[in-house]
Amino acid sequence: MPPQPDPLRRFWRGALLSLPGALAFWWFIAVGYLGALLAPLVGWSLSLSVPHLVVELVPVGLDWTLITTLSPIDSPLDLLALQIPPVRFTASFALFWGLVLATPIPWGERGYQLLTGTAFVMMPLVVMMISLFALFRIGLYLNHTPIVGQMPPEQWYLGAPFPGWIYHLLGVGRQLSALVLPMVLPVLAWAAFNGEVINRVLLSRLRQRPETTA
Amino acid sequence: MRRLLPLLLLALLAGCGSEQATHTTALKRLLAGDYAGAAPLLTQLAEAGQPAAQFRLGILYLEGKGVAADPQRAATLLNQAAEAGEVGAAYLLAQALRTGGRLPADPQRARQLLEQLATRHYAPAEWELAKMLEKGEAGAADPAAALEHYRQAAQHGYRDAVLRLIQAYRNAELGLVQDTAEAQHWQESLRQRAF
Repeated sequence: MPPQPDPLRRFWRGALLSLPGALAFWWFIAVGYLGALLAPLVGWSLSLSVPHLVVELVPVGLDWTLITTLSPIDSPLDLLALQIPPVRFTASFALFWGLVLATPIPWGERGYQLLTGTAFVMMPLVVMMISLFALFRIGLYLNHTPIVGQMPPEQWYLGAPFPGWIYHLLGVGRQLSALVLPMVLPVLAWAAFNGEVINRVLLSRLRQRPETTA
Repeated sequence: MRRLLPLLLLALLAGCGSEQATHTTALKRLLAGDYAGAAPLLTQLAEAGQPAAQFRLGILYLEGKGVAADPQRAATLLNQAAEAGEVGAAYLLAQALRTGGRLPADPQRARQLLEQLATRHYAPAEWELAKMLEKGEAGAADPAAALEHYRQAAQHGYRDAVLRLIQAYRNAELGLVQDTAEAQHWQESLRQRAF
């Protein structure tokens, strides 16, 4: 009987193949479909959180245009349209898919995790990330104060600014959604599905290491 | 009654949803420049008491776009929206009443509206109010109050207010003594904020 390959090695070898593969699949095939699926969900999420500020979210190619109810101070019948780039957020799907495909588990289990993880875990999380990003952009136009390295526009708009503490929370939300969560959430989602594998393959090896060296 | 309650709630939700949808359609028509198409929808919502619709319809009547210009109706609608807390309506009504171009001038009411907006930290209103107080447009000039509002507008990111403060500190205006250090401080804030 041939010896079983080390599961940790299998995982790293799988990750080397599956992560670039998942990225290529996301960029060349899935990115447009994901955008089309997510746009109505993000639009719905924004219309729930700030219904008085959002008209609609229109996908235009890979980017989205968020039409707000905000009017410039000198042309009150015009409406502010903001560009929202969903691509940087949907890259999280590729990371999740790559990790699941690299995990040493049966193929049926992988398929289950890919489907349920994409639909019921990653989708809501990515909708939340894009919504946080969009809310921050609206806040920047309303409050007109530099925050987290972002500068407000020159133009003023007709609308009450958010209270200071909410504006600062939006700043934190923007930093999390743009810089931290796209990398962290897919790993957490993958870990939530594969706690037992992580414990068996990764942590058990780490626990063994000091004994081996001694 | 218990059986009717869910039905009443559903009807209420459906009513809110349809009102929101009508407003969205009206705004899309405005965006497309179809003012005549937006006006009936906005009228329907304005009559139902929606402040955002009263505000946009007031602008249409003020500018005579999609409807025949009617300053009286515009003033009524903008007043209703402003009373309901619509910032855009309060600000534009205050501007119109202050300058007295399209509506009869009423500096007292303009000042009252700007003071309400200043309590909500709306910097353009703080700037306009400061100018009114400095020039004494609705009563005696009050340089100290004007200075306070210029300062607030500057703190809330209004570039012209920062420039006015720099000028006031350099030239000892608004009851200030000359203070180049303070002028320099505001100059620095102007540079840091990259206005």
